[in-house]
This record gives sequence, C-alpha cells and structure tokens, in this order.
Amino acid sequence: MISFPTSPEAALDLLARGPATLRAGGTDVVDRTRNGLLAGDVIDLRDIALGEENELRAVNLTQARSPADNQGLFIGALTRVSQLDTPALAPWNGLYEAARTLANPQIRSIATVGGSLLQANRCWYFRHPSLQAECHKSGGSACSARSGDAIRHALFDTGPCISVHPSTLGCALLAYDAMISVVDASGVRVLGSIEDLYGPGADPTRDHQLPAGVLVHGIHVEHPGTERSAYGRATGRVWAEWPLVEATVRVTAAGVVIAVGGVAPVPLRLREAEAVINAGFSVREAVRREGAGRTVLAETAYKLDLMTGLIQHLLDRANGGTP
Amino acid sequence: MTVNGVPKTLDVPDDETALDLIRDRLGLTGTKEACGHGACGACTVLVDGVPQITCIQPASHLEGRSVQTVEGLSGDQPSASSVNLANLHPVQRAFLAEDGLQCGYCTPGFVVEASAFYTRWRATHALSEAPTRAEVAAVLAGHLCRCGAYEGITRAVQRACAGDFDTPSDIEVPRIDGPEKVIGRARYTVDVSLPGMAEVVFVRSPVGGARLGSIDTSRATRLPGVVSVLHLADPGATLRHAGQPVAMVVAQSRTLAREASRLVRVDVTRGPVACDIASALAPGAPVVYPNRGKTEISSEMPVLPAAWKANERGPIRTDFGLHPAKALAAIEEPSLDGTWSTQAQCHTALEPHACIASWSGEKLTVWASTQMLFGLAEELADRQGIKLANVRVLAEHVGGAFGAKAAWDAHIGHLVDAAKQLGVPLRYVPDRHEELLLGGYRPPQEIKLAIKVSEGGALDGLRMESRGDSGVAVGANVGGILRLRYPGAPKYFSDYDVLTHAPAARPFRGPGGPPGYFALEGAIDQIAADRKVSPVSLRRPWDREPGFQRLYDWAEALPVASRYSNVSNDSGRFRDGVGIATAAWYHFVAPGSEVMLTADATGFHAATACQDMGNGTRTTLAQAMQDALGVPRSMVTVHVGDSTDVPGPMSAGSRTTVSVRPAVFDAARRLTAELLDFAVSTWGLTDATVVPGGVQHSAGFTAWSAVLAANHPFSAVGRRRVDPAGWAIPLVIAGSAIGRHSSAALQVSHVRVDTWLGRVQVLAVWSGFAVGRVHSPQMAKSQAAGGIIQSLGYALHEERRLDAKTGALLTHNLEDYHLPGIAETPEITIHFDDTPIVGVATEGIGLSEVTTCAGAASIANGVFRATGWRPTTLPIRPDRLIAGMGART
Repeated sequence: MISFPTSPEAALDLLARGPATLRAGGTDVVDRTRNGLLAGDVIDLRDIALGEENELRAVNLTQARSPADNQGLFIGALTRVSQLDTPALAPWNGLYEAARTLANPQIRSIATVGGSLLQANRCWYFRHPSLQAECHKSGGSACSARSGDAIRHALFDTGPCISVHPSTLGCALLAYDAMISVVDASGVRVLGSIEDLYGPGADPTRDHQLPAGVLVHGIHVEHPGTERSAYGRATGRVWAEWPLVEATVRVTAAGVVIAVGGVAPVPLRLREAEAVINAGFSVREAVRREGAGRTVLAETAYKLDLMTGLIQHLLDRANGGTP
Repeated sequence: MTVNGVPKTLDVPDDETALDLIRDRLGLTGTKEACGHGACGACTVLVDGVPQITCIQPASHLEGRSVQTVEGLSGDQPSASSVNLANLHPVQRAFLAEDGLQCGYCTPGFVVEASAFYTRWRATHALSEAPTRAEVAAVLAGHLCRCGAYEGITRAVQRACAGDFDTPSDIEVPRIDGPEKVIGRARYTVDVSLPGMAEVVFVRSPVGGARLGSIDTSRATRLPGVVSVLHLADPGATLRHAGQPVAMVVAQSRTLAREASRLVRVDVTRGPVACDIASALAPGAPVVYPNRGKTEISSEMPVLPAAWKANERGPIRTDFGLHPAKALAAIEEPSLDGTWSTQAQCHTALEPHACIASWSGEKLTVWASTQMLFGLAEELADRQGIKLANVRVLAEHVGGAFGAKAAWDAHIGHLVDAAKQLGVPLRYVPDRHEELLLGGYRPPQEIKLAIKVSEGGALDGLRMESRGDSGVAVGANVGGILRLRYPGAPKYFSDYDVLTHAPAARPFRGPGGPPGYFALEGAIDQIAADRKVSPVSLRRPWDREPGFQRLYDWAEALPVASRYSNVSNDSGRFRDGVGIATAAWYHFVAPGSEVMLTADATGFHAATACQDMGNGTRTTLAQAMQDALGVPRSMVTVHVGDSTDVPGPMSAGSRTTVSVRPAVFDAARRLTAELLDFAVSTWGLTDATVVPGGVQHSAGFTAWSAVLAANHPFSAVGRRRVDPAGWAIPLVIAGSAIGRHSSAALQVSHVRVDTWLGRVQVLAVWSGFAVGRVHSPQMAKSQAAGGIIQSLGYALHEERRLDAKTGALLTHNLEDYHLPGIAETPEITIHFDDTPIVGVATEGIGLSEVTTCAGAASIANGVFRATGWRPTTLPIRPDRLIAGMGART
C-alpha cells in the first residue's frame, strides 16, 4: 500500500500507524522493491510541502536556520541532488563537487538529499535476492561479506557489518560538521550532527541512526568563510562508479578537516590523520597513524594507499594545484 | 501528464514504474530497459525538459509532468518504411552522420540525454563552439553502450552542439538502419507484444553444487493473474550452478510473474561448491560431473575429445604440424617462463536474451534476440519434431550479441513447450541479474607460457599450457588461436577444461584470443624489454606474412613510435607508457549462405535469413548490392531477421560479410542476366551487355531504373561458394569453413597510470588491421572501435565475481559489473591496410574478432612500459596496480 500524504503531519500519522518505508525520489526504494528485497507499506513524499515556500525542496542561502545564524546554508530534505549544482554552493566546494560527482546525471535529477543520506548500502550480499537473508541488515545474524568476497568492502573494521556507506553527500556533509533537523510530532527540531546521524559504525543492523517516527527536515551548514576545499574519489572508471575511497578535504584556518567514505559502514572523520597533518607531517604518515589506531581488514588494505593518494590529491587541489 | 505534447490521463497501480508505464501502457517502446537499475541510461526520458531515468522511478511521480520520449524528439514521420531526415532533431542527424551507434539499443537514451545537453549548450555558447571530449563524457556519464560506439557518439554530440546539423541539409547516413534506431522505431524482440500474450519468469536455483529437495508452488499458483506454474526439475535433480531453472511462472504481467516467482518455495540440499580453477583442482574438490554426462559447449570451434580426471578434461593438443617435440627441446632453457591469469568477462549485451513463442496450430513463430536466426529455426524444427516450413524465427533488430546469442538456450525450449501446452503466446525477458549470470561470459584462463628466443633473436619455441573455466561447459581453448601466430615457430600447446559450479561460458568475440594474446604478447614484450630491443624489431623476423610486415611499417611511422622501447623510470604521480601487441585471427566462412535478390518498379531488394546485431549486416548487404549492380543506395532495400527467407549465415566467427557479400554478387549476376534478357526481348536491344547501373547496347545505355519501370517481377538466389584459393581444411564443420589466409592486427596503446588513485587511463589507441579489402568502411571502423573498447573493459574494468561458498553471482548488476563508459574511451585511430587478399572471394576477410584480440595485451604492455611493473592478471584493478607498484609509489 502506498500513501501520498501532503503534509509532514499526515506523513507522521501514517508512520505512527506501523512500519512503513519512506520514499522520496525512489531510486533506492523502487530498486529494492523490484528485486524483492523490500516489501510492505510505502509512504511517498511526492506531495509533501512545508511552509509557504516549501522549504523542504529548497537550497536556501539567506535564511539560515538554527543552530547557527551566520548566513549558512539550508538544504531541504526533498531537494533534488541536481539542485546542489549551483554556483551558490561555491564556498562549500567540497560539497558542491560531491553533489556533481555522485551516481550519474539522470539519477541526480530525481534523487533527493534526504534519500541520499538515508539510502541503504550497496553490499553485493545485502542486495542479492538469495544471499540477503543471512545479512545483519536484513535481520540475519551473519555477515556474508566478512567470510566471503569483500574486495570492495570496508577498510576499517568498526562493527559486525563490513559494508561501506553509500552516501557521498553524507561524507561531504560530515566534513562540514553539518547539522540535521527533523520533523516530529512536536514540530521541527535539530536532531544533531551528521556524525550523530550515522554513529561510529558499530551497529550492523542499520545504515543510519535516525530515530523512528521522524522525517528529515533538512541540513544546516555553517558558512566556512574563505577556506579551500575539494571532494574526490578513487574508482576504476572516471564516472558513475561507487567509490573505493571518497573524501572531502577542507583546508581551514584551524587546520585540515578530512571526511572519508568507502572505507567503513559509516562515513568517517579522520581526526587522527587531521592532527598529524596539522602537526606538519606527511599525508602518508597521517594515514599510517590513522590506520594504526584502527583495525584494518586485510583484503582491503590497498585502500590505505588509495586514501593516501586521494587525500594528497585533494589537498593539492584545495591548495590551488591542478594535477 | 503530457506525453510528447499530448495530454494523457491514466490510473497508475502502486507498484508501476515510470518505464513500465511508458513502454507497456503507452506503447512507446523506443525507451528501453537494459540494466533496470539506473546505471545504464537506456530508459532516459525528458521530464519537464530534464533527463531522468525511468526504470527505478515510480510512475506516480510523472503525475502532472510533461514527458518527452525519443519518439517525441523528431517531427512527424511519414511512414513505417522511411524516415524523413529533415524532421529529425539535430542530435539525431549527428548520430547518423557520425555513426554514433551500432545495435541501437542504447541509442534512444543517449539521443534524449544529448538533446537536452544540446539545448543547454546552445543557450550559452556561440555557434561553432563545440564542447570538449571531457565535457561530453561528463554529460553522458550515466549511459552505457556495450557495442562501444562512444567514439562516434562523442563526435556526434560535439558537432551537433557546434551547430553542424542545425539545418536539415543532406547528410550521408552510412548505416542503413540508423534512422529507425535514432527515432526509437527500430523494433527489438523485447518490444514485440502479442494479443493474449503472457509473461514468464523462471524460478532458479539460488546456489550451485546442490540437490533439489522439494518445490512448493501452491502460494504462487493462487495469486490472481497467475496462469500457471510449471515444474522444470524433479526432486533430487542435480543443481550444478546457481541460476539453474527449477520452475517457470506464467502470469498476465511481468511484475505479477516476478511477484509469484518469489512465492515459490524451493528447498535445496547444499553441497560443497567449486567455482574457480584453483578450488576445482584442489585435492578433495567436489566433482562437477561425477558421471561425466553431457555438458554444454562454450566454444564456436569443434570440441575435440579428451580424457577426464575429476574436474579436469584434457590435454587437448592443437599443435599438430607445429613441431611440438622441437618446441619442448628448445624450451629447456626458456628465455621467459610465466603464468598469466584472466577473469570471466560477461557479454551482457544491453538487449537481454529475450524470446517470444507463439503457436498457431502446428505452426510455431518465435521472436528471439539471436545471432543464429536460421540455425535457431532448424534447431526448433528438430527439437519439436515439426517441419522447418512450420517454424518461423523473427529478429528484426538484435540489441547486441558478441557471441552470447549463437547457441541454443534452454529457456527457448521451455518457453516453446509451455506456449504449446497453455495455448497462449509467451514472452520471456531475462532481467540483468539473469543476463549477467546466465547470458554468457568469456571463460577465465590460467596460461603457463614459456618462450625461447635465441641470442640471434629467433623464436625457437613456445610451450603453452592453458586451463580454462567454462563452468559446467567445456570448450575453452587458447592453443587453437595461438597456433595461428608466428607460424614458423615450433609450438607445444596443451589446453585443459576445468569444470566448475558456474553457469556455462559462451564464445565471446575472439574466443581464446584476448587471454591468449595477453600472455603471448606480454611475454614477448618482456623479452624485448629485457634485451633492450624494440618490440617491433624483435617480432619482425618471426612474421613472413606481408600483412604483418606492412602493419609494422605503419606502426613505426606513428607519432609515438620513438617510445616503443622505453620503460619509464618516472617517479612522479602520473606515468606514461606506450604498449604494442599483435594478434591474428581465422578467415571463417559460412559456405552455402544464400541471398535472394528481387527487382520491381521500386528498386532492388535483398533478403536473407540473417540478422543484424549492430555489426551492420543490412548495410553490408546494401553496399554489396550497390557495388554489384552499380546502383545508388536509394535504389536498394534490405530485409533480414526472418528465417523464412533463404538461409543466411549465423553471425559469429567474423563471417557475416565474407559470407553474404559473394552471395549478393552471385545473385546479382543471375538477376542482371534475367533483366538483360527482358530488356533485349522487350526493346529488341542489340549487342547488349550488363554494365554497372544498367545495360550497354548498340543504341546506348539503358539504366536499370528504366528496365525496372516495366514493373515486371524478377528474382534470383545467390550462394556463397568456395574461395578461389579453396579452404585451408577441405571440410565444412558445423556450417563453417576455414579459408586460407588469416587476419592481422597491431594495437598501440598510450596509457597513463595515476599511481596515487590506482587508475589506468588509455589516452590514445592506434589500431592497424590487415584484413584485405574493406567494403563498408564506416561499418568496419565502428566495429573495430567497439572491439577496442571491449578489450579495454577486459583489460581494466570488467570482472564477474561469484561467491565462493554458494556459486551465486555477486556482480549482479551494472553498478557492480563495470562496463567501460564513454569517459574511458581513448582517442582511437583506425588504420586498414586494405591490400586485397588474392584468392579470397571478397578479397577481404572478417574483421570483428581480430579487433578485440590485441587490446588487453597492448594496454597491459603499456602499463609495464609506464611503470616497470608487468601485469600478469586481468583486470588491472586499482588494488592490483597498488600492490604491483609496491614501494615504487
């Protein structure tokens, strides 16, 4: 059964009645439904509007929302990814480039920002109709990838599941310490940071930690000032491929900020590596120390080298180099 | 919603996708489903002017929107048989002029996306300003073309954006069926819909190495709309590989059939699985065929008998007459001894192995996406025990094949049987998971190769031992191809099949060639580097054929020739190298292939029971008629794709052109003789002879058009006969003869290795081919570019991966199975050494397969030349590059 509520309140009412899947652009939900991986009620957000200008579907630069009131950025949850392809995002280059790189143009024109953040992972066991049952994320009790073929899977062992998080926007927004707001019965409220949305990657049952019974309202990002930043990924092909490693690197007055994806079940801030680089050491040394503080999975240890190359590449680009 | 400008009101069921709505309910079948996953772009339409995929978009999201499909891009078209080029969108005209298409299946998606880009570009750029290759690639990043038409596509989009096709002036259209493909009218098997037709979905074994317990179909049968659920396997049946069919669901729609198939409970008893060469040969490995039994065949060559030992079958020796003992003696102190390994490469044509079966009394009609139209009709007649005259196979357009559609498919038999039993037409369209799992793949190979090159540079001997994994099939063979290369050298070749719990492999363009040449040409490149000699001069004395010598001359005159001997010692991030490799391929012919020519007041018409899978069969036939009759293209039409026409060749083994062209000439001789008789008797001509374009006689020249205007029907059937020089082996096996001579290829690849991000980019390719005379230059160029792109995918990106515990497919979609995209396309320069080959009917030999044989070797050699690290395992993935470079980074 599919419902088309026209207000957040109506959608919340439906959510409160029982388990249902929220559908925005539909690129993930329709795909999983067609492949028999997902069944049950769907709440389609097609007709939802909020406020006079329907802030759910806008990239808004001027009317900054809490918590910061510093001419930041507000991105409504139902904004299409392609709407982020705007010069207005120039100060947030590491986000702008991420939004222009993920998936492919025809997907970006229907996928939403909220959907991108909350989509399910692309592990080839989780997505396999006849292998899915064993998977933690499908209610099973094992990780087939861990004992099977995990050549493109996590680099860092953060929990029982070794899938990698699929959200490129999640990775980029993590680098910007973005905050996420939700709508629930009490109205719009700030839920916390992107880091809170995903957690440390220890929970194998979920791709994110959004509480039940809420809708994502939008994303708040502070204005970064005059810093330089860049997004990039390591892939076999040039475009349209899930990254082996992806990263947003910011070079701020206070030092570098690095968020990576493709290496763990959640996007990760590399705080150890940031500190090492900020102390004047090489990227190679920074990644070595970051790796030393984590459990590295043997099959994907090659990603440490890719991560080193990628971070160096992005630092060079942020610093004005053109490789 | 508004569709192509027309308002529509529709009730949309909950689970309908935008694509199902457009194709099934609106009947706009130009929009295609290929990956079903948002990864390939074939289903792209404009929604309020913006390109969007439709396969994973809910139909309900189109409410109130304006949708434009490929059918709506061009103006009104006058009739089904002709396309008014003046009414086309400039992008469509550009695709035609630049031949930015082959099979045409992906073309509507590309054209729709490119049309939106054209609009954006033209709004912000001056006329004659063209986007760069990189800009075009970024825009078309979400579109995949398995034929590899990217080079033409890139040029088409660049030139359209520059305004070259804004005015509907005359354009040359090299591909005769191009116009119907760019407007979305070309009809493929997946587009055929019959009244009363039901849809089929197979229930398949989830794992390999298993035994079937029970099947419970009761819940599926009870689902409203389900016509029937048929059992295809009995309890206790052996399920060797994942995907083996156990039941089939027949229902009123595909969505329903899919839903019902999930309600079928299949219990299997799992056993141990061996799904790669190492595990199948390990001590105690489960034996795939404990009682031998009948296996499938993965080869297009005859499979020779051989001994079996557990999962290993062989050796199969293909070195007869090549002095194997001498080779073994020479190899005792080899110059190089190594092992090369390659992966499974899936054909995964964008049109799946679709099929429709319909009975009318004793008469059977089958629509199939096939490259063996006539052979399929024969096979169906044989299996059904009915006369060939009662079988009709139709394949108007075939959306790519590459060898995967040249053999009998079990699903066709099930479909035909069930259609008869249930009395309704049935359609089966495999989804991409099934296509990637069961649709065919190039077998993984492990090749041990030792070479002896004397101090003086003579090739004293080759020893090659190869193991190929065709899954539950046999027939992987490398020696049969490599025996062609370096003909004077002594060779000891032994091939083994290794049986595994994987689905059957299929011949894939140049079977045996790409892995074999990867090993052989890699080893030779290494020896050249070790001895610090040019890889061209090292090879020269080993080739006596003038074709190869001319290709060497050509290669040495290329702008990058000075770099052939270099092994870079750069230590920077980006490292460049130039690799070369060569390949030879057979001259296969299908003798007896027929073409019927008819003539009437509208012109000349060719018909043959052959198919066009994007290789250009129609254009080849048209060109042959133009050449044989001396008439312009406007006077000829071509009909292929119907098995009731005179029997044409299967399109495999690079033999379509060499088989049908002489048959056209033969038919033209007979037909023009008839026309001459008619003209002489009608008009009392004297001293009349046939000349190009008509009849020369004492009173002057009478054009064929004047003779045809009499509206008298003429027809003649021509046949492909033996080559003037005869066959290399005086036997025609399975409809195939091996002609004398072979084709030659030399590929030069300029690669750039990004040592930081682990990526290999092929910047430029120069490919030279000595195949004799080239008759349809643009078709040949497009085919060659496609072969090069497919070899690039094989070298760098494509890799099927199976789960070792279950044999299930992990790379089950086009996000996880990596086809090369448009941005991977190097600048490609194609050179035809078109010196005629004397003694061959067409003075030229087949092209398709030799174009894909040297690519992986050439790219791998380029990576070595760039980095000093020699790749011996394909594909050259980022992790392998990182590991190979080791401390070098």
